[in-house]
Amino acid sequence: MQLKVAIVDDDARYRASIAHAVMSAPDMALVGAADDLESGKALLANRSPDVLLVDLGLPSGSGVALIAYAAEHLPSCDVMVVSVFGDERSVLASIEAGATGYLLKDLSNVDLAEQIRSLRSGGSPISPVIARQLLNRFALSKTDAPIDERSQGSESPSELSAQEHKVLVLSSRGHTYDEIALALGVSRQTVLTYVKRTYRKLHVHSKMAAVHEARRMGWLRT
Amino acid sequence: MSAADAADPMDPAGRGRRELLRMSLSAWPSSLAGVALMALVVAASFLAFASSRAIWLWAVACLLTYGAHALMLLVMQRRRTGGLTPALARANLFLGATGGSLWGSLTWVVPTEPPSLPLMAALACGVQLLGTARSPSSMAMLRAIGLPGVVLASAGLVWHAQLPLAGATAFVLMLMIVRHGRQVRLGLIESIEQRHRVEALSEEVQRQQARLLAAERDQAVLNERQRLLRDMHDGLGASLVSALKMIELGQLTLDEAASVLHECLDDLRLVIDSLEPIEHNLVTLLATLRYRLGGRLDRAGIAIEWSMNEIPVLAWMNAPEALEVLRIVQEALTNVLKHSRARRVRVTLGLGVRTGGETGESVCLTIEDNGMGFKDESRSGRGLKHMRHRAQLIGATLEITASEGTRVDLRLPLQR
Repeated sequence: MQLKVAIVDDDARYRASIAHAVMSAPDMALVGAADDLESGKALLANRSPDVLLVDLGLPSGSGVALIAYAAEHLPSCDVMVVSVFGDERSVLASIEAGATGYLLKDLSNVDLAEQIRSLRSGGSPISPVIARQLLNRFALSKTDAPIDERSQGSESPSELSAQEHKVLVLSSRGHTYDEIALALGVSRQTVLTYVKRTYRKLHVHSKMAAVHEARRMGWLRT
Repeated sequence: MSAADAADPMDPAGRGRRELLRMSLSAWPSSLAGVALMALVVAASFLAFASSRAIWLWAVACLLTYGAHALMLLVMQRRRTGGLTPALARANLFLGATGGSLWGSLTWVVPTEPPSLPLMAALACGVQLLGTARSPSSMAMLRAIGLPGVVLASAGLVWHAQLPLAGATAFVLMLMIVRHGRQVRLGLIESIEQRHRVEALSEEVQRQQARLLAAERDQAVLNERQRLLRDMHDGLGASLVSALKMIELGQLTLDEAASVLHECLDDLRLVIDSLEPIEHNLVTLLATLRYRLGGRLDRAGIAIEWSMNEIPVLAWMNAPEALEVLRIVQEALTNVLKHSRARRVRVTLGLGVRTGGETGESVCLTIEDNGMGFKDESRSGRGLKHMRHRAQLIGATLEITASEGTRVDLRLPLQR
């Protein structure tokens, strides 16, 4: 069974290059390409891809909106942000919206297929700056989370386990997945799944923060 | 007589007087104490002259006036700012004048028996002294209370009690007291005005400082922009232009062109990374560089030993300095990649003691490979010279030793 990949990007040349990369991988099929938010939503609904590649700067709206839409309507789909320079701030916003991977636009075709496979098999990539920002984010949330959520410790859906925290720390200090795996005594693949879990927790956490905020403002009843 | 109190608020002298009035209004507890004292005096007068009907009327008028005054002051105090309307200021003066007149007229209503009148005159002087010298009331208030009191009290002594000498003495005495009060107030006004002038001056100094800071900030932004532009012009721009020329002349193969473009992208990333707000965190900065270049070293079969120890925050390291550090390390790693034929490179960050006569600690960044090194520094020329120059720019020292392998030592000061 081939992986169904879809791309939403307003840059026709990049769409073509992705199409080429996906089609030259025997285990993947391109099921659709769109160039803006609305046709991207239609693509999600009609073709239900396994992996969605999204560019953030779409003409009719931010790619973050499409990511949030995908996270809500097609939770089985893995979303990857496509960025030119690993613009770390927008990557973090995408992760909060529900993305679990990101791609740099100048990646080689072989690497691109490999990244997609890795994401599908449960692992996510991470860069030192994203790791540092995640650490900051979770450190902040620890101090303002409600007591009942904090006391549940690592069982809480929005808090990091000790291992996940270690991955972030080592990654922010520039260690590779292999080095982190060695330090933690786990496999490289496990490190990547820790990262993916961390991304999911950030997503849950930001959703919970939104609900918390809504309650605080009186929009929702407790 | 309210003209002084309703003076132009912008006029500094007017401001002094207004503030004095404000002070007198905010001193209502002491005014109440004054009223209580008056009431005591009145009560004492009752015991002595309870037979007289006039003294009863006088006492009631006195109590009503002072009670009303105290109440008004209390209301104004409650209102705090903005309580001092012209109408209230006028009412204040009116009640003050009424109080002064009542006090002065005391000599008219007491019986004319010898012991009581000199007693009253002495009492009037005493109260006058207390009222003028102690309370911080305004000049207009001083006149409103003092002058009717002085005139009525001494006139009472002269005509009602037929004691012209005592009246004249009391008149002179009380005038002197009022004069003294005037002097005290003038001094007070002067000091208030002085304070206002000092405040205005310090406000002006603060405004100028803020202007200076803003100008400095603008200049810093401008410098930063110029630095980035110069950087792009000399680095990225120059590489792109020369690559373009060579492609146009057909002197560049596709692979070579791709590699030039990759180098340009690397450089652009470096600049962008240096602008990332990572709170002077050198470790994350270097981590980013490894993240970018690590794959290339890997593919070239060069293993990286990455050892980052805890170092203090380098507060001086902002985007420009970060970029220089990144460029130095990138250059060193590129040299390892291109020229060293090394199998291993070790990058170490940690605290170390400065060498070469300098004292104190510094942050040491070492890039060490096991390649072939180089014999003659002039041959590996420009790259090393650039690295030294960059180190110098940020107040760091750079040592390059090459025997078995090459070792680059960058020492960054903790403070600059």
